[in-house]
Amino acid sequence: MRIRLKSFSLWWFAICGLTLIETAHAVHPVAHLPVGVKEVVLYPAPPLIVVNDAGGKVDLTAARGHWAFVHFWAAWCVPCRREMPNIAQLQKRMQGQDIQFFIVNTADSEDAVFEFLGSVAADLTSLRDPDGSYTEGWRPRGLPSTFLVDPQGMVHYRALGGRKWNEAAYLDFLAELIAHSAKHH
Amino acid sequence: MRRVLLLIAMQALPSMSVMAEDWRYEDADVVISGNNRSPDQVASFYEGRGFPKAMIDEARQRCFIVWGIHNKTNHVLWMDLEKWTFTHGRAHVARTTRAQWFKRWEQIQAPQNARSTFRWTLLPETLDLQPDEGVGGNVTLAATRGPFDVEFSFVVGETRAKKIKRVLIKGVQCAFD
Repeated sequence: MRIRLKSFSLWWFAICGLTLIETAHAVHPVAHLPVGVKEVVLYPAPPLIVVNDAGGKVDLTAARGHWAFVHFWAAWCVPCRREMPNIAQLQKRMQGQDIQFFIVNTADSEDAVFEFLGSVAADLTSLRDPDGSYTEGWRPRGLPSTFLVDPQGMVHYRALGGRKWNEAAYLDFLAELIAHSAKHH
Repeated sequence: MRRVLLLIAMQALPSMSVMAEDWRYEDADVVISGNNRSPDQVASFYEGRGFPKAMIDEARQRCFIVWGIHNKTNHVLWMDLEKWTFTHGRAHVARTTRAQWFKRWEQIQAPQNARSTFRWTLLPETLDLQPDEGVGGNVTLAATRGPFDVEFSFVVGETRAKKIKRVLIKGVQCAFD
């Protein structure tokens, strides 16, 4: 009985140890975070079902298996105006990589979105959260706000305010996230 | 528990001579900037976003001041609007809170998208500003004639019981049409 218990304990510790190693990989895939990007205690991504420019619905759950860059903005928001061209460049630079972009306008009219993007980032298309209710569910600290959702659908990082996403530190960080996921799955 | 009280009084600022409605304060810990919006400016902002007349009329009755706060410390800067004071002479200038706006919008059955936009344009009631993080938004007050004082209160530190920082800006004014 004593031997059985001892053997059970050893197995239990071995399993826990492996789980811890796996969790450590999942929680800390990137050693150095760029300025303004914070790691969060993992939590499931809140629902996000938004409207695309053709009027169709887009659901974040469709991005499972890939990293998702979820960004909330509004046309009246001055920092959003500064940041949006950087996001447009980022999206171009990340083309073909295993990350999906959910650029979500919060509660503006279709015309306001069209006019805004035409003036700051003509190549970018945005999704819309027409009454802002999905955005509220994500509890952003303010606008603009960005969340990085991992391939398992867990919110992993959030970025504070507007960021220079087209700069090397951010591009390298995202590339490292994607590479890490590819290596471990 | 060691509490450090910093009280900084600001009577006149260089920027105030350029635009009487702008206020700015900066030290090693924080940058605070503010400017007021007249009822017409407030109305045109929200009209441009398709707000119904009832919401605009309600907004026009208040004093809108846009405050920007930037945390320059290497610690969390805890912000709680309940701790800020707005004083006109000996009288307290009432602030309309987010909850009070919510109640009002419920009463007039304001559309959801407009409520959402309005909420985003308000300064958050509470926030743990991270190092180098900034936040901005409207603080809405009872429309008050004449200058009043605003005392900003923050807690600096990873926990809420470290250091209290206070900044006093005098001569803040509502804008009128």
